[in-house]
Amino acid sequence: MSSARDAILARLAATRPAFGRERRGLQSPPMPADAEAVLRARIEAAGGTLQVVPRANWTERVAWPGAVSPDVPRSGGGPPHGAAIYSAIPELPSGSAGNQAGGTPEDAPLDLAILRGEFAVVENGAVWQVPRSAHERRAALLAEHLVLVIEGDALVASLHQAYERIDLATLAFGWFLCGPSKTADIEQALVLGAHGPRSLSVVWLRDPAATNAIA
Amino acid sequence: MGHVSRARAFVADAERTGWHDQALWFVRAKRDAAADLVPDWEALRSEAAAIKREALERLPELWIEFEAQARRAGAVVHWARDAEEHNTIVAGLLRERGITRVVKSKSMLTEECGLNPHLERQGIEVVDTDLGERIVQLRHEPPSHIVMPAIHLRRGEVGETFTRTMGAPPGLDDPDALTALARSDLRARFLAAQAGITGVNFAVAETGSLVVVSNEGNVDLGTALPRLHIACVGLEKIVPAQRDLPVFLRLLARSATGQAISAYTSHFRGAMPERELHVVIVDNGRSRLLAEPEFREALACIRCGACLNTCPVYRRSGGHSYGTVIPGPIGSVLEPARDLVAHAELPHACTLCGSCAEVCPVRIPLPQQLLAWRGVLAARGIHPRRRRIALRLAAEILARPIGLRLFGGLGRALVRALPAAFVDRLARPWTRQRALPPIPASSFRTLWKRRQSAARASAGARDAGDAGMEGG
Amino acid sequence: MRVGLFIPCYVDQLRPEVGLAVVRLFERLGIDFEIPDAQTCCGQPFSTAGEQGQAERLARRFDAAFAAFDVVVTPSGSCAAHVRHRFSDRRTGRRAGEAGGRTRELCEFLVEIDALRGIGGRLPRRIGLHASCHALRELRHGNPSESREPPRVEPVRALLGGLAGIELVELARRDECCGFGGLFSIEQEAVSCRMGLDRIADHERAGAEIVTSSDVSCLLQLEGLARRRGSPLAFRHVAELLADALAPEPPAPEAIDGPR
Repeated sequence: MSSARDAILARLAATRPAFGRERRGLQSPPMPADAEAVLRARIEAAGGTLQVVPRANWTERVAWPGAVSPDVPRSGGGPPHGAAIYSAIPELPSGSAGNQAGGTPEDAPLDLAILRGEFAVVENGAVWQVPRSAHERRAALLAEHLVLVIEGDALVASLHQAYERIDLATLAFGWFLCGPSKTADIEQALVLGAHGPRSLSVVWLRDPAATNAIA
Repeated sequence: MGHVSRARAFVADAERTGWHDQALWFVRAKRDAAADLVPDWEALRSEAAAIKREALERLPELWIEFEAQARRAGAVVHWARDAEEHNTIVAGLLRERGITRVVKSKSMLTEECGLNPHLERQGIEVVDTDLGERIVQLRHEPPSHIVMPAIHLRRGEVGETFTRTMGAPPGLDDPDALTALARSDLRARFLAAQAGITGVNFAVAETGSLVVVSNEGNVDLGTALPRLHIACVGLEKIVPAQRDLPVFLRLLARSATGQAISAYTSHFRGAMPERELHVVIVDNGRSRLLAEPEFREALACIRCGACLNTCPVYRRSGGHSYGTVIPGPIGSVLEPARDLVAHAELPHACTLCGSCAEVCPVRIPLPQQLLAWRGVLAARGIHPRRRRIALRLAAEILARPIGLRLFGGLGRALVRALPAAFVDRLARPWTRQRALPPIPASSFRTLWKRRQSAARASAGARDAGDAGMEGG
Repeated sequence: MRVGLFIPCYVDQLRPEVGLAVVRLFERLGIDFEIPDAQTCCGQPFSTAGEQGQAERLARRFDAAFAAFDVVVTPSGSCAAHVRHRFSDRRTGRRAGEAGGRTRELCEFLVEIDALRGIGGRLPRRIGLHASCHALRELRHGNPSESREPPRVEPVRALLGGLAGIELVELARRDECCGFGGLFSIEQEAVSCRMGLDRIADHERAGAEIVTSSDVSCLLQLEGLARRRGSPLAFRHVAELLADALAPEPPAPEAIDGPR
């Protein structure tokens, strides 16, 4: 194979195009004044939802995906009882829904995956997420519904700022997730839930006092 | 059969042509709306154009850097000079591990290399997992669009295909139901797959990372479940550094579908624990294209498909009419570089309206390149004979004003004298659907001369009259 | 300023009234001009067919014919774009056509010299404006719908917009190609006609009475299709509309609508 490598590199080296097109650099777009509204609009445009909730008892305040099979009983707040859940969130009441974090996601149908996101990008509604394990990544794909939890200060204006917070050189895997899995391959009709989750909800834990902590 | 006859066949179905045009125009309109939300859109395009060209200027260093970084992270890097080497490498990796079930996400490169038939001949089952690609795979058709592979099909046709191949109830044509069916069929195949093959949107030299985007999540299911991930990447996909990614990712989905970003933008670097990542770097004509000054900027393409969506010819002739892996304006630039004679019609499948260049996120001068191919075709004498004769004749006539006057006058006189039905037949194919314009008796030049001499005469008469009055 | 008028070959032969309209217009506006005898064709059809040699021969003729003029004006966005941008051969770097830089499309010229200031003019019609692709995307007459560059003057719209009583109708696709494309209209007859028919339908839906453009070639394509289908649309070059609208004695309504 090294012969193919050398041959290709030699061919490339033999041709040195000069286009004379200089980079000018870009101004990173500033954080919009109505960051929350813009973020919400982008997430909703991608078929997802945004919930802004105070941290205290947040698991009780979140509207968990309602479409988790209708026969699963729900009592008060918190995720539905009996639903198969993969949670990477320690504060999720472990008794309420049988936290299956130890199981393998592909073993059994998974209703809900609850993962921590690093930050959200206001200009496009994407959440940067780094799975802590292979299980976590698979759960994010195999669950019917996905909830990503981000912290109060975890907003950046654009992808430029996003990549300033990421270090790919030390990262085996990371992804931007924006809205649920989707397709429009049949007559351009948008269908949510192509292969992965049918819904994606971003939960933004933000105490009222922390509003001005947006970077 | 070339583009002309296939396009004619497509247009013959007026209703479908109208639908196809409208469906793609809808995507173009979404792209426009997405661009409206980015205040620095044109600057972003310029920056992306500059970065891609910088990368093309530095390909050897960038790939060497990428290779070192990727290896450090545990990836195995392979190099393939052509499609055959690429296919052999991929098949070898699978055979060595006794793998017979593979899922593949969308990759124009593997289409270009003909990977699927190569693997199938060796008893390896390859399932295309992008819904559109799965549909055309089940129909034994090539994709008709690089982002929306089944855009040429109506929902009823997809339903029929699923009835035939997945036991869908006859008559099922609801996109939700059809997608649900494909989802459960493909979910089982994802779980059973022993390897996942993906394309690559961006390879980052600085870090050895690969960035792959999808909306369906098929790239990720196909790489999260099986132990082996084979990523096939063309030489043009490299970008220098991590900080370049936002420039392209802000443009890619907006240009392609009007989304602000795709649902999944995954960054792979090296092998994850108990996993293997193999990267196959493929030339297959790219280094040759790089040596063509008039055409090498086409290597900047990020395969967004915006030029297809906006092309008034593509929208009304369908992707299959091009007879190439990549259709539309960018295909009509890239494919003649592989086989000029086979694709001689493509540079002419264009009115030079220029819309493609305006939407291209990396500012590839597509109309100029198509024009340049026409020049190459003419210089090599690869013209249809009728075109060559007509042009030579016209050039002789127009070489002198007298030629235009004589032949124009003669032609107009003939057309006016002959029976209309006969002229109509003579002027085909112009007159197949179009009326000839009313042919004037005199040319502008004649009318102008007449007007001038009349003006001179009346001026002369007036002068004479004035003189007479003075005299009197 | 010595103004040379270039009347493209197909206008000379097929739509002489467009040339005469330019003459009327210039006379009305008091613009002195000459029409050099030596002109024939700008060479565009040969260039777009890839026949650079033939195109260059005509470019040299064009140069010679207009060598003595300060500005060359032509009622064709497409020819002007060719003369301005494609005369030089990208491949060989050779430059034929030094007249390119002095060449202006008619409306562009009128806007540049502000010819219509204080002139008035009246055109009580619903007009569909067909954007010539080459005027728009090569000469940058206005901003193409794809572009997000800062707004630019669109000379045709600026001139027509100043006429009293005019209504410029709103199209669903304001700058899609008519499908002419020179040889394309013959070699790709089916696609070409479909493109043209779609444009006509857009103008009809928008309620246009007259379709106008800075290019006769687009109009010939659209008019040919419309006439065959019995469409009530009229097709007139912008020079004709301006000449009529600015005429000292307004023409009869039938004259504005032109031959059907």
